[in-house]
Amino acid sequence: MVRHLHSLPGLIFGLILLGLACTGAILSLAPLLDRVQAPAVSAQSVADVAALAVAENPGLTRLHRSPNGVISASVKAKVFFQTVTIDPATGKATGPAGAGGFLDWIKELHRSFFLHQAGHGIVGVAAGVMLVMALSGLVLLAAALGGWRRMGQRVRATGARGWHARVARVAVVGLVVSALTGGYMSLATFEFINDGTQVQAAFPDKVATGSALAVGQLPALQAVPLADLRDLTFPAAGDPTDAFLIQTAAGEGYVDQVSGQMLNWTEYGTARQIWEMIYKLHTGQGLWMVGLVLGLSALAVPVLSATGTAIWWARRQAKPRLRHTARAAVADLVILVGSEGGTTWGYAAAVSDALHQQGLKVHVGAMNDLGQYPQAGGLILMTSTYGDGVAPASAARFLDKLAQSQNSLPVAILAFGDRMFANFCGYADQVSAAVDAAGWPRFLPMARVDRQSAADFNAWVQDLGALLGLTLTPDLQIQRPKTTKLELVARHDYGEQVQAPTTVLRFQVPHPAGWRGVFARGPTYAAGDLLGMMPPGSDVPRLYSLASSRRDGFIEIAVRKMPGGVCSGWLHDLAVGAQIDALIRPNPAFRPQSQGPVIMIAAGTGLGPMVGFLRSMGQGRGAELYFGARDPASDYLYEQVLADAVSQGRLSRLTTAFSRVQDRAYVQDRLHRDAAHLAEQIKRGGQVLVCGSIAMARAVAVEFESALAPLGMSVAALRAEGRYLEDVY
Amino acid sequence: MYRTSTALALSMAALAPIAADANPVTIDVTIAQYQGPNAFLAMYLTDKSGAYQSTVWVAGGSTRYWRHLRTWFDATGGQGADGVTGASVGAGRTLTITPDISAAMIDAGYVLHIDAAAEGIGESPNEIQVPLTTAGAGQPTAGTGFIAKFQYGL
Repeated sequence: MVRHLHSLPGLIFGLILLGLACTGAILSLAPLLDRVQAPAVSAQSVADVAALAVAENPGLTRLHRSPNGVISASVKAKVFFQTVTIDPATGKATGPAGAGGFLDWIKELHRSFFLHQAGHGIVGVAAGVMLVMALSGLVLLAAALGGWRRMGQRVRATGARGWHARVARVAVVGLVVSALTGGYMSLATFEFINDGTQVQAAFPDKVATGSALAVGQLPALQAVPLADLRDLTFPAAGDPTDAFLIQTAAGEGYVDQVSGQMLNWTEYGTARQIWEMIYKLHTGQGLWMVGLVLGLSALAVPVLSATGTAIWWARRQAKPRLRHTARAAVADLVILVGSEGGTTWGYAAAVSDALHQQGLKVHVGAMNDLGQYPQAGGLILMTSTYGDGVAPASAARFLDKLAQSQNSLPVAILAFGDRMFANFCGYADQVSAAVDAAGWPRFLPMARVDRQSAADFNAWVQDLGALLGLTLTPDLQIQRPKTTKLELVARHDYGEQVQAPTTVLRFQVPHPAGWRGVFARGPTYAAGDLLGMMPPGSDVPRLYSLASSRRDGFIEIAVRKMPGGVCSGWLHDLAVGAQIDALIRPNPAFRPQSQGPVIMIAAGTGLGPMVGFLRSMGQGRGAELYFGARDPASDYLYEQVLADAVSQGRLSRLTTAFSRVQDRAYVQDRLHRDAAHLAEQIKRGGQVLVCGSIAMARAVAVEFESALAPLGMSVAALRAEGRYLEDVY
Repeated sequence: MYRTSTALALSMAALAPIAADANPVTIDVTIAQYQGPNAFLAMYLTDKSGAYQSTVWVAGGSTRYWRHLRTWFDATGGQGADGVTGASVGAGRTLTITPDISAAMIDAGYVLHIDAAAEGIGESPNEIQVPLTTAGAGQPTAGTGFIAKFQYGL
């Protein structure tokens, strides 16, 4: 719902908002230019300056002072008017004033697109749309980050999504201010809001007769300092019944040509003061710094339009084409989908098609549309989790519907998620609990698919097929990510003697020959990202953590040969010079923090990403590493690299533990010994990165739990803050 | 609501007898070429004694700018006029109107006045001041400010 509120107006009003933002950004410079031009503040009165200006500029009809202090005049020329800036010290014209210039053209574009009243209306509606988009965007961002209190946290999403969120978070305050003030001004233009401009001094009923005083001699104008002036309109030439009209920030009145007295002085009311404050906020007139901030925020709109459209398009593309689905009333089996980005629908379509091939009538719908299924023997719920345990868009109302439902069906839940998130499959867990609470039976235990793993998915489909007595062959139409060709340039083998054969493989992107090589950029990657590779005859990628970043100029992974491992066996047999296809999957959630202590804990090939981090770690950062292996003589990976990191100050503390030597120890034993030190580092804002097997990560977490207890802290709390990260396998 | 409908009823009542002997006069006003916001115009009639008679047309619906059409606004006693307003006129554009001016007003000492102004540029009170005569019809004149060409036809 909120998503539609965000994307629909964005698509419809995109170009208008783009125009408003770009012109607004240009206009934000006007107050600064004005301020640079403005003369020094002087103690002159309005009468002084008016007398000088009239003497120098015959035909003067109006004197104006901008909120930034620039004095300008309208001068009736032989034909038409001239608007000039005035030097208040001499009264001389110093140049043409803004009117008619480029900025005025931009300003009119910004205010009405040169469409007059209709244009003002469009701009007013666009301000409202901007506000709706900013507020709905905030709600979406809060949901994606896991709550309002986490608004300051690092955005984990990559690509267009990531940039959209990051840029919007910075610009949203400025955009809301611009939209609110702009909308207010628009409502005032159409007189829906009282802006106080109807408070006007009445023209005096009677003016004195006699010969007019020189403008410099008028007492009422002598009493007004130049700094207070807004506007001084001169009487029509040769009209003795006319009078001066003077306007200041406080009010306005007429000044008698003959007596020089103020007549009908009228104070502006509160409504006018509010309007002026809002006008200043919107334009930056008199508040040039505010103007620049709003202008910079407006520059975010082109970025947000582009990334927003890209996100919308990607989501549209991800929507699968559902075939062969049956109506709810006649379905044998029902699949309901909870999806945010649309990927989960692809899995649902694959299952539905496979069941259809076996002659079953399958209904596929959104979890929000939970209804009555009179013929159905079972209900499959396939749901992702949005952000940190939030319901995805197409399941937002599911729990309410479930609570109201009268009937029950046997249920199977397939959860999609990302193990990197603290709350893996968090929403599916809520659904599972709610289904149990409602007393609905299960026909399959809940299963999880980590990061779109085809292996996880196929395993579940086989379970489903076995239960139904059917052979299911789902044809998963998930788009394969683009692969990159890599060439093995070096390998280093370890651990053969301690039954832990491990190899460090270094790849490079082969440089294309000829002119194409000039433009080839190669893939972007950073230490901790995942390299996915498919052994021949398999289409399930195995993932390995990268031990290098793009700036290192190579792609390196550490691979332990697993007994019977198809992929690790294949990689161990690769000869230098071999070429393979691989894909790089960003893993921005697993990264050392940019400030504060970092405690890295790794065992075996888990050292890979840590080495990658250390390769680009700054000196004196206070990084620490705990590394566990079997025998320093056999499987001490990267021994030289770590020694160099210590001697160059990139690693301030290196602690090792070996399990196949005398005084055998595991990393968790070292952590146990250093508990007080670790607690101290955490207190100083330290972050923990763990990479290794699941069993090792569990043992490490136990040690940290007891080390943190005296501080009244917990691993779970650190996890929630992004200060306890695990990459386990 | 009450006020609006009363005003409407009054203006309808006022128009009815005039409509009977209406002699549609065509007025063309061409605005000068300049860069800036649209021009506001007020056209009104004074009788042979010079007294304000009626408002013919106001270009620029936003009442807050009316006082910048100075001689007209003062002549209406600071009230302006409802019911005879249209959009402001852009630079270089021509405004053509056929107001209801009775035949009795031609060659009877009535004078048509035009005040013009544009935001941030200037005010040009009484820029056009032309007696309504049979002889003057079809004779173009020009102002020195916003009005590049003015002409009325009978």
